[in-house]
Amino acid sequence: MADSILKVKDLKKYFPVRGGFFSKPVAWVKAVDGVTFEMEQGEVLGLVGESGCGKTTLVNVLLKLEEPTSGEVHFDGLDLFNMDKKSLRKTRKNLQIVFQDPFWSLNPRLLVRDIVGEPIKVHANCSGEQLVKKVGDLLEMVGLPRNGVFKYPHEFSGGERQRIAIARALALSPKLVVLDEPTSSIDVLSQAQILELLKDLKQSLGLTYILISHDLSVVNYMADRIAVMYLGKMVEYGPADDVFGRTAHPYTKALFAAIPTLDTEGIDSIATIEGSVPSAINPPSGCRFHTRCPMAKEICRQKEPVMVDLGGGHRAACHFIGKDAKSAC
Amino acid sequence: MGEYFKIKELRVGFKTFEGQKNVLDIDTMVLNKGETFGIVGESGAGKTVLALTILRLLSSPPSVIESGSILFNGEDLLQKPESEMRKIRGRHISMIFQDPMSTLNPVFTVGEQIIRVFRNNKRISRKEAEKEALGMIEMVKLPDAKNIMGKYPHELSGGQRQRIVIAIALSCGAEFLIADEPTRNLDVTIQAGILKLIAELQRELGVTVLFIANNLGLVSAICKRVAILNAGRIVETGSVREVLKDPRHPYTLTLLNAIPRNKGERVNRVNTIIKEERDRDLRGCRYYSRCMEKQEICRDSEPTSGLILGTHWVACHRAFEGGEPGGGQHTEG
Repeated sequence: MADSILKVKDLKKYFPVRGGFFSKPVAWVKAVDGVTFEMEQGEVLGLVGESGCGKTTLVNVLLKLEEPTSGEVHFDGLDLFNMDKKSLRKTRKNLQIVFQDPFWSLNPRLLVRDIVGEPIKVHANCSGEQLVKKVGDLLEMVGLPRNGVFKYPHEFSGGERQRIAIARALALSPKLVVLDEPTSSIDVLSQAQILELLKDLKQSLGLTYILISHDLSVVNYMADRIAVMYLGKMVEYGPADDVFGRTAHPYTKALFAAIPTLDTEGIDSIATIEGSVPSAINPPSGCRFHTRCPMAKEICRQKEPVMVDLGGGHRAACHFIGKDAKSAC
Repeated sequence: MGEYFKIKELRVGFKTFEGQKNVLDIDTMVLNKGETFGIVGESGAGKTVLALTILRLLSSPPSVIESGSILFNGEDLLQKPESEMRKIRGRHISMIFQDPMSTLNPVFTVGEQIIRVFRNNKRISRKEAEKEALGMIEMVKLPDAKNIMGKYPHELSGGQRQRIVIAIALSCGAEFLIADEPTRNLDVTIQAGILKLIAELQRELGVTVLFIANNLGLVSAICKRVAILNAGRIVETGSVREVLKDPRHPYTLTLLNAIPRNKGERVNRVNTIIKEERDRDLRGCRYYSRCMEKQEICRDSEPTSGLILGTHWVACHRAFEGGEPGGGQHTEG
């Protein structure tokens, strides 16, 4: 992989649970526990999982909004975690994020000019007329009228606000954009528009996306590669067609079965996963999914499965896949 | 047997500085006892206004009920005095609100909140109310009900909170339940659980459910019949199968196409037209400004509902043009 833009190796992020005398850490929340993957330039990685599985923590660490516990991240050939402040700041230009909820992520007291213009002011030393023109260009790029520059966020609808957030993320022409559930709080029609916009922008600007979503139809539509997370671990990873077409991990299968689609007829055709996500403080022994897995056997309780290569970059961590693959050979 | 629940020529408007604006204009809508009926539309279509109108929870000054009737068990809810409405809310008609984060009171335990509903509606002792509340929590399938009773809303997850909200809604034996996007902001796995719970309760208790959603996928999983709402009007209605398999109104098609399915296909481009304010002087179809198949007649006269087949009704001029209604060429996609 010559042009891999992002290399993540064994990334861990533990949060301390403090208590007792002098607030010593008494336990650790293993939010991200050994995640490894690579991304190529121009690719869309879909990050899937239930809430609380560590998706957001993972990208926060990737963007160095949180300090990692251990692991390595190489972005564009640069080691993100061993970098002085000055060069980190320069690198940040290329790493941007669009947050989940456009009602919280835009400062209600600032004009759109200042919201979208702030990164430009900080990095490109641009102000006055020039800034207004630049922000206007950005708004046009995301399909908003130019006169929006002197408006406040409350004057826009949810979908339009998300466009403003996208304009802000693109203000410095980044290389990698993280989209943290960009359409989860807006309705289906606005969602369709935003997805189209993101696709067009990716093509015209050569962007690379990490798309977090729990809506698998969105991920299927956008992503080239899919990573499924459960309790801080990656359980399945591979090209989107393989993950959808030859789903290997029981958790991924369960996620797919839970979604009602247009072809769903009757409530009995959607399936639920029993129970809820266990606590990340004391994750279950062995395979972390064994408490809810329909196929769990004794081995799952004792031994943690390793990622098994299924060919074509498709990997999954489950004891039974390994066996099936072997017997098939 | 007569109709259980029927809305007739309901018009609701909001007073604004620019004059009164019509937000809801429903000619007829009938629900049979024990069924699950879906209402689908984008935000701003009037779904929640409809729910609040049924419960008479819309505050008026801004809202004005211009005309119409809502018949529930043969009685018109719109004619009832407030004192009688209070007896209907909760005991006969109840509602699950959209956001379980903000519908529960953060300073009381969830047990206390259910107990209060009982104490307000029935003359029973606190002990008895506690017992009943425990039963309700068990009914919505939350494990370890005793423990949950003593918890505050912030200690529960989104799915657990929504279950508590459902327990409260059903605690006084309501027979008609309005569910306003009950799974919005919930994870897919949690969503599946809540949908199953609603379907099960409906089967066991025989409640009638008005299910509001903005996603047709949800509706196809839980409802038998559906109505598509656009700008306050029902543009298409019928059984879920009729409407989803053979959509005739361009707006229904837009909604269907907006759901991303396959990678190759583009999601619908039609709706990149930003929603325009409806011209108040416009006499024609309310979807006119965004419709891709508009014609002259659409601007001048508002289409009335016409029957396609069975129970499938559509309000679109194009649907009845010639022998073969407008939907013909779309069904392949």
